[in-house]
Amino acid sequence: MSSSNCVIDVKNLQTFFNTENGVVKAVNGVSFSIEKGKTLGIVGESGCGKSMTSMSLMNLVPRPKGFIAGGEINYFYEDGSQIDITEYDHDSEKMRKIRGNEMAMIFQEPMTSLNPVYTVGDQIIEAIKLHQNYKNKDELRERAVKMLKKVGISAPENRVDEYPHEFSGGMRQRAMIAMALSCNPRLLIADEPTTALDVTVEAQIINLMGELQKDMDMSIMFITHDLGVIGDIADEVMVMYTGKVVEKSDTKSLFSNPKHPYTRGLLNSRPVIGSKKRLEPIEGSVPDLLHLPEGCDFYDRCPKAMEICKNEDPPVFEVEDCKVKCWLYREEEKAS
Amino acid sequence: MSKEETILEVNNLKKYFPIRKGFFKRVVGHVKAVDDVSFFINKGETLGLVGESGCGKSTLGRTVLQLLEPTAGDVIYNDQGIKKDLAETKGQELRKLRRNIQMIFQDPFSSLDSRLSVRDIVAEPLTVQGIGKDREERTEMVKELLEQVGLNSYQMNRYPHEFSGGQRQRIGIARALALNPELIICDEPVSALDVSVQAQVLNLLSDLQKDLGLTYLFIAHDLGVVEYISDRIMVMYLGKIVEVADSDTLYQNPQHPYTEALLKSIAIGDPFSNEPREALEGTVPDPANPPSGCKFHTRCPYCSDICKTKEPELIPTGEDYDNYVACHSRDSLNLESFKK
Repeated sequence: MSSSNCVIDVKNLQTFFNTENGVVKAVNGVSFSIEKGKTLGIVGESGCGKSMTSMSLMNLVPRPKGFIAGGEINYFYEDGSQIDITEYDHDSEKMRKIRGNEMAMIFQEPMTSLNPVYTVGDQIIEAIKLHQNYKNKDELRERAVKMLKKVGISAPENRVDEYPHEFSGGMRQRAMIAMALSCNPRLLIADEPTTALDVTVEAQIINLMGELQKDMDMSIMFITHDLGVIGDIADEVMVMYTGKVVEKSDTKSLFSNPKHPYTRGLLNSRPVIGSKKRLEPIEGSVPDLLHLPEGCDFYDRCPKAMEICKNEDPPVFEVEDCKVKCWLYREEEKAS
Repeated sequence: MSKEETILEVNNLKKYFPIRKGFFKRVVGHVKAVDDVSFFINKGETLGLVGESGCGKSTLGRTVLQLLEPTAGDVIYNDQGIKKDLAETKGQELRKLRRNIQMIFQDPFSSLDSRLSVRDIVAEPLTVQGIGKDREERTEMVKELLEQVGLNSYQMNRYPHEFSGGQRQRIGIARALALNPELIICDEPVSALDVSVQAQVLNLLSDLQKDLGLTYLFIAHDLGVVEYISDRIMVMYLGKIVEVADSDTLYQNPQHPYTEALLKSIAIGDPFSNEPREALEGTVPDPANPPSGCKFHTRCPYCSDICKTKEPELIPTGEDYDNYVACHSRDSLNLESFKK
């Protein structure tokens, strides 16, 4: 991939946690890159390492238990220079400059990620003040109002002085987006931004993010467990399971021709409107990260498990431009 | 309204919460969480209930079960041919009737007592209702119930925190089944679960329904899930039922603009269509201060003058007797069906 178009390039990222019972490998060897203006979707069930991947990118892994154990996170600036985020301390000057200005994040729970004792305007202003060189109070306020207007909040001049509890769930998420975008980041990390919202509001937020992306030529990393939302927004999708990427492909082929049995399982678990066909769930549940099976992590639940899967963890195979971590796609298997 | 085999009939049910203000906590107004709702459930069917958050779905479920005292209205339960109004029954008699109606809650983390073992959680309704001779007999019953919902009976001495979300929801289902109920009110039973686990629980619920002849009132906000499990669906908006229809008709031929808007905003996850989802503008109005006339008129794309002043009634939609809609312009609208 030419680095000129690339915003972030992650190589073999490993994020581990020290716990009383041993080391939990929350993210274990994840590699991906996102190009300018594109959207990468990350799907998977709870506990598969989606959120920890995004926290690692922001260098915000909960300390002291969590740490980045290995790998590279290369961020490419507008001018083409690059920086490996893993080499910097989480509260170094360099990191603070990157957060907000270069990449920003929106979280799942809009109620808990806004501070209830400050007005929405103050919180947006705080972000702008920290990261940009606005000094004048009126100027700052004007910018906050402009941001609220941009994300579609009506009467932003009045709303800017209100507190988060006076906002509805959808409006809070809009305010979060306004805050994240206030410094014109080049990469937006959205961690389940619509999970807590109603369908109608979800549709509004997804449309808004799409418009803003076009406007600002921004890259988005979109984390969700909802495959429906992924189909609507992502260009490329990465499916995660137990901290590893099991399938990575462009969105169209993921839906039309899912390759990994886990991806197929996820797609078959969704009720399809208009079909009363019995759902085919994936049996069992996600294994404990401390006691992973010896071979493939999905072995216990896989309908296509083979002998080799039991003992050997599959490598990543390249199949028709997709990357699949499954023994089904090794050469001998394809030949037969 | 067909009366044969009706298991539950709700007439003009209202639940108002007072808004109190000032030093003397004077009542200054009401939140009409459930406002004049009437419906019925036939034996063995699943009635879905959808709507945005804050529209009164859960309050309706709880009021039916008398966990909240209704402000007005009847909840008539058909107890083997004898009709009993739950809203009028109290004390011992209500407790006896409650055997037949149980509830499954949304959050499998907060709905189980973390200090009780699974055995005690599932046995609690048996103890309360005085079923089973002694502890041993009840333990046997618990074992059977756990097997029925797909858990191992040897797990019964463990505590809730040792189980995953899906397993906890199964414990909640086992507890609801303990008293052999006829009707189960499922309040968003799969919303908190991962997709693969959600499918397991949905399959379990439909298997149990077939095996035990259960009737469900299924509350959810996910239109895909509701369509999958329900025979008929009610759409609720700001404390009112705006449309009732069998699930095929509701998705193929919606009659209310709000239903249409909900269908349009479903994330179908089709990466091949470039059309953006058509999002309904605005949010649900403040229920303490609802709009006049039709409550949906502030967001309705087909709003006319009459909608602003007069509230529409729930009226049968022509040929099919069991489908109802509350909209002034129901005859003139040509609403879009759900597009795959």
